Amino acid sequence: MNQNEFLAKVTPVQDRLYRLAKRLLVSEDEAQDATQEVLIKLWSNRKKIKKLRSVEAFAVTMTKNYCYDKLKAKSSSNLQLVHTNYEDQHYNTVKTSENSDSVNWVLKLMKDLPEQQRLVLHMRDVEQYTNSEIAEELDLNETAVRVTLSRARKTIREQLLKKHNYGLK
Amino acid sequence: MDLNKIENLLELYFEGETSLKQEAQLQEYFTSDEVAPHLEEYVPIFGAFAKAKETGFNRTLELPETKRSYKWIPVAASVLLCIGLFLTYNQKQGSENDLGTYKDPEVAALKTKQALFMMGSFMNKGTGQLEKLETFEETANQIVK
Repeated sequence: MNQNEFLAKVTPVQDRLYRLAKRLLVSEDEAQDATQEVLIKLWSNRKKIKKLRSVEAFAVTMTKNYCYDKLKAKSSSNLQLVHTNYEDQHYNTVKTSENSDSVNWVLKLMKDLPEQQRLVLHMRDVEQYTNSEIAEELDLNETAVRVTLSRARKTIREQLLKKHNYGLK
Repeated sequence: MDLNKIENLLELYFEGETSLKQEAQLQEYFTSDEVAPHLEEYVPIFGAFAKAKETGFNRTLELPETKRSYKWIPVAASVLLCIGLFLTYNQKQGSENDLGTYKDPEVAALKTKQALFMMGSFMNKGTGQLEKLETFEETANQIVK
């Protein structure tokens, strides 16, 4: 596999990998680093990925594991800063209505979900993976995926309604 | 789209029972401009998913150049050397075993004849010298008699 063939295979997937990494790591820079790291690892494993039926599933697993490792390293060193208040600067102009505040609030709520719920919600509602794909990726059964998904969606709704009722809008 | 249908879908959505297609319908409805006022509180949820999908990997990927590996060259060289040695050894053996045998019996007979004649002529050369011995013997007989 030469570079062009590899890029043709990887380019459609890389945005998804990045978004997944960002969902887990939160920081944009770290997510870019993670994606780059994973893509380079894929490149050095290109002989292996030739035989795979889905490069994407393999890449997603790699990204997920990479991010978990990063998170573990982060939680073990207590001096690390966690980026919880970063602004997504590139896309602020897309939605400038009053809703964009609430949209950012929802994105923040997503960050506060437990890891598993966050991952399932992201894979389903942002990336439109099927439940069976998610189940395979996360080593769960499909019922568990559905339950986790429902829980995540309900939590977001509750938190959002709570905020509305407090009149913080 | 029918408001009742949307409400139903929304209910299913929070139970995790909607299909991807139905979720796409919800997404479409809630990112449009015609959301019913009592459903407006759900707009940010679907807005957030849409927004989350807008970001992407934006670095140019620099793939490390693959170094041409030379680790097979010594192996190839030693294999070639072995083959070379084997072939030359075999050739030498071949020349030892080759006795110059003729396949055609007539040619073989002819060559054998030639060889014998040649041998004969060498032998005759030797006997030519022996004739001098006869003169010596004659002289000796005259004296000794």
